[in-house]
Amino acid sequence: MENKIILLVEDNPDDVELVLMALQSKNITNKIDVVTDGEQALDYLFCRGEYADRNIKFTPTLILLDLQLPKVSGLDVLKQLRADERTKLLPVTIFTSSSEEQDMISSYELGANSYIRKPVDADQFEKAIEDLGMYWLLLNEPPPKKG
Amino acid sequence: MILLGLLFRDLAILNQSIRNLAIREARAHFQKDKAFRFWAATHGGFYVPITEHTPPSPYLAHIPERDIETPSGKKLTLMNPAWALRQMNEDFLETYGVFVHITSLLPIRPENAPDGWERLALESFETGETEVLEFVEFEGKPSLRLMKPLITQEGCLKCHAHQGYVVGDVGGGVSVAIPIAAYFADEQQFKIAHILPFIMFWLLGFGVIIQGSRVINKNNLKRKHARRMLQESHSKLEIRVAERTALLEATNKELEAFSYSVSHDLRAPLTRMDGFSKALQTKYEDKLDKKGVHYLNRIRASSQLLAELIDDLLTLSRVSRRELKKEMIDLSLIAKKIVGTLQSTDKDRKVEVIIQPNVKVTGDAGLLKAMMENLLNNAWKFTREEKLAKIDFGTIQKEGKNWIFVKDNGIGFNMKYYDKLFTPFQRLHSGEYMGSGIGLSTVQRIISKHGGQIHAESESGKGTTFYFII
Repeated sequence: MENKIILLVEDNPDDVELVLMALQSKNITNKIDVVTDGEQALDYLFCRGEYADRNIKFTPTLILLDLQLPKVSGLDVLKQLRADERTKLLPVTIFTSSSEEQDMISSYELGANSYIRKPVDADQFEKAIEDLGMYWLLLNEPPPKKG
Repeated sequence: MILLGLLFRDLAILNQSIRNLAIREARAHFQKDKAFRFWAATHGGFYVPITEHTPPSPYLAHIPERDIETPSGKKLTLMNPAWALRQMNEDFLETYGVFVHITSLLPIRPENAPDGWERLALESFETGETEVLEFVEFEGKPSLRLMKPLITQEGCLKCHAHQGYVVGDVGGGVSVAIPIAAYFADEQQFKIAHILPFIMFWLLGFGVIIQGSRVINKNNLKRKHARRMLQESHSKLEIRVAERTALLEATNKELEAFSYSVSHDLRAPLTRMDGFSKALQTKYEDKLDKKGVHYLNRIRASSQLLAELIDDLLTLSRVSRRELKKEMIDLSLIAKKIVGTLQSTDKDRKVEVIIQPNVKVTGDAGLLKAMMENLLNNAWKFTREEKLAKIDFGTIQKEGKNWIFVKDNGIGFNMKYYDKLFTPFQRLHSGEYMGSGIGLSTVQRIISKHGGQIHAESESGKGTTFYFII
């Protein structure tokens, strides 16, 4: 479990802090990488730009993707991920405050694996993070690495 | 057209009457002559004084006592009916004015021979014709010629028996020719007198028709004008409707953008509020006294409530915005799912739930689901303190209608405040039963949108039942 990486794509620092706090309180100690806008997310995942030095071998096992992102929106990030051979199979969990049906439909249509609505209640929030970690990092079988 | 037809018919009838008059006149002449001849025949002829003009007739030579002498020495000779008639006609033609001719196919006197027309007539008498008449030219004048046969009588035999006639034979005929110029002159007058009123009527009718068609035309024009006006106002109306629709659509889009923003942007800060409050509670609990913890709890509770409010408002706005998509919905299945979710998130509670199966309605799936969630969540919430909590869902006949109901045996509410039940933000409970205050108002809006009805019955401490029809 330890060498599985979590990628958090979230622009709001408060929300980042809450996620990190939750992970910590639930004893999820995996490496957590944080990017704060859509362009950064793509650079990270395609190992380009400011992440040109990153080794693509180390693909995240869990990607938490917010929808409201600067520069490139969450849905666009998803679209580009699914369009590229290298990242087509990566499990993506949409993690957002939005409850709009259209967002949900679009996300699934573009190939999201999961859609989680951020609970307002802190206890429920922590539980959600714990459940996500348990599921994606332990229970779920990640796609086999290519090459 | 009709008038012309009538006119021609009239003129034809007139003509016919004129002809009939002429025919009657001709017949009258004939009959008079016939009568005269038979009269003469019954007398066996009559004696007249012999004059140069009236010598004894050579054709009567075979008659005994053809010539007689009176005691005073006057010499008389026998005159036969035919001769008498002929002499009278010839001598007094101007007075008479009508041509009369006694003729026969076997004339005794050669001058009594028939002309072409008479011969044809006589021959037809032999075959049984009793009268021949024809409007034909005679001696250069338009005339009516009429001929009838003379049938041999007893008295005729005196002079004609030697020819071989017997009683009943066609002896000959008398033809009459009357000029009809005078008649036609009359007819002409009649015609003119007749045509004039016709023409007048026709002109009148024509005038009426023209006037009528002018009026109709005017009406047509008026109608066309009215129709054009109608079309214009119709198009104007359509334009206005299109504009309004565009406006409404724009407003709707704004609302959608608004509620999207509400759903996302308003909730996010709440999440943070609660998250950090909890962090304070857990990480600084040793630094906080009871009061501090309490305050943080209140902060957290408020953000909870605010989140609920936002969600309910969003649902309410969605109800109004949304167009009904009607389909067959099984409310029993929906109820089962909702109860299942409630039970799984509230594992400690034991609630007896009875759901009548196959409660089906026609309506919008999303909205009806939201409605059921609201009603069942309420039932679940308000039975929290009951030891033997019970929730019922099914149908019931009430006041002649088939109602669907959601019943619980929770804390109920005072019917005194029934008016406030469906009013937004009017809560009937406080403290831990406090809700956002718009759940039931949303339920009511969903029901109205489906054209249904809803009402509730309750008793404080005993429970509540919601009855609705979709």
